Amino acid sequence: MSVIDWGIVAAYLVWVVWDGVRLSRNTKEVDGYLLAGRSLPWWAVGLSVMATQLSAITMTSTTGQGYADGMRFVQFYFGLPIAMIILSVTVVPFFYRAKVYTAYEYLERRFDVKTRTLTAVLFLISRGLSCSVIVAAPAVILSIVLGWNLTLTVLAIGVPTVIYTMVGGVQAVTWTDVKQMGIIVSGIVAAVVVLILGLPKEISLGTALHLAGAVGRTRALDFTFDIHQTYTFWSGLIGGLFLSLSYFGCDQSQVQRYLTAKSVDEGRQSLYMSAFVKIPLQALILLTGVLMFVYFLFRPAPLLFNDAPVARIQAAGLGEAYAALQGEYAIAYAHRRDAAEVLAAHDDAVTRDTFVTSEAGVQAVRGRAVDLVKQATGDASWTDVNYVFPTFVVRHMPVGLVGLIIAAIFAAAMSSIAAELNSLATATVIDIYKRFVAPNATDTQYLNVSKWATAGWGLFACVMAVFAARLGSLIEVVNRYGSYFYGSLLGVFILALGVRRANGHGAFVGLLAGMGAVAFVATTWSVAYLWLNVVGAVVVTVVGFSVSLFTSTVKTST
Amino acid sequence: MSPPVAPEIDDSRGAARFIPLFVGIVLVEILTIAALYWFGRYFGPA
Repeated sequence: MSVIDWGIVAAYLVWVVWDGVRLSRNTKEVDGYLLAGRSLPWWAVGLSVMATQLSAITMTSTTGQGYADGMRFVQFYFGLPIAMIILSVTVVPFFYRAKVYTAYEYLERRFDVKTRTLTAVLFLISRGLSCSVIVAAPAVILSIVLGWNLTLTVLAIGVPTVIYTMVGGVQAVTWTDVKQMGIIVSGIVAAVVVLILGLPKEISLGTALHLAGAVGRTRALDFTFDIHQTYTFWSGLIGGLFLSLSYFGCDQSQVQRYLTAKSVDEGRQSLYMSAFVKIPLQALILLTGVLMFVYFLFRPAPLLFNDAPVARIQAAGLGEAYAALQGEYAIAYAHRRDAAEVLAAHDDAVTRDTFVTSEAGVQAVRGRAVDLVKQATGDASWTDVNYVFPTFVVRHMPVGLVGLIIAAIFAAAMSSIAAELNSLATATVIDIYKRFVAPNATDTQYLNVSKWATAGWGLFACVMAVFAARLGSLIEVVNRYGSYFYGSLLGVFILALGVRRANGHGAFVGLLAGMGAVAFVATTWSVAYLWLNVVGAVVVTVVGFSVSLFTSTVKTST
Repeated sequence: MSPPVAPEIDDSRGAARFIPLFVGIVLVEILTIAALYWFGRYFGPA
């Protein structure tokens, strides 16, 4: 990276801390610190909602998915707009009227303390671990691609985020999110422009998309109803609906965003922004990956985009096999480039078949190289797709834009981490400290504990990130177990808001049954994970309602 | 710690006034999905 790019990244890190602290207002009371005194405009909250969801993993992994698999992943978001409509007429006004700090606080009023505590503790565990993953994932990628020290990269992401979140509370988080969203979108647009301008002169954008389409990269929709397939129209619409209802309606990291809005309507409008923009934005990010695929048809692409494990391949005595694969790859790559040029000049069945066959040849060699890495490292889930975008940025973007996009990856990571730290601190203080440790403490004490809780969770995330980064596939395990919780939590809120006869025992038993059912289904059937959200929500609702019928009397909701 | 003080909440008309917006959201989603379908068909394999 050039000095200019280093300067841009360093300037971003300094600016984000300074700006976050500068824009904080009325953070001397807990209400201002955790809920911004419910004073924020809908557009700022809406951008914050989107920035929270758009992490660095999205920038690296989603573009990588576009490169390797095409546009199909966009179906994941088809349930989101419907979820936003449902939440805006149910959960948003409800939480406003309840005047709560956390979603779980409401569950004690509606049910009992054990249901509140269980959901809050599950949130703290799953979000605490996922926060460390959000720090670790970009840190690992940036440290490998840029040759940085891993621990220092973790600290470069974590420390500035903790500082402005700790000092400025939710207002610092929201206002920096707004600007970080601008940086992220600018970075993505810059990458798209460079990719288009970087195509050979004889390859227009339309021709490039035809090349990508010839090998299935432009196909976005799959109407097959198959619960084993991860991304189909139906899994996205139905499973994605349940996931979005749970994530945006029951997860404190999102609920806290719209609780800061000026009014119920502004809270609603903040969600409508995601409803309108999310699918096109994700399509743009995936399209970036598709364009990278075409770009690397004509520009040298490495056999593996993450060559860090090559040393381990050598150490495992597989060096010769890997060297042979590199030779095969050079031939297959040249063959595919030639086939692409022929297809671009003359599109017919024969040229298409030749190109499709040559692409299969390249992927076969790459697949064997990945198998070698798996054999050498013992990591059966190893993949290099998350490294495609950072590799393109560092090796192919012009000076200045490299710094902008690295800053955008930082911004994406920091905006998600800040929201998570803020919500973790809120749940810790409101649902644990205030409820069980110090119910009658002063406002100042709660404020101080909130700040230290933010720092504590930040420290936890950074330390866990360093460990998680070294443990590799553990990251995937953590994410997977986190997904067990989402649908079940939604079920509890369905019972709370929609089933009058539901009581605390029913909700508590239903939650445990739902999580058990999700774990059982996930480990015994090969069901795509989006459907697990449906399983969890349905089991909790049915079991919770049934148990409620056989236990205590109805408790009136607030 | 005092409970969070919300500004006056006037939600007497509920979300009904947003119905045109809901229709807009659904229409935009249908159009987006249609555009993605066209995108896949137009640029995809013949």
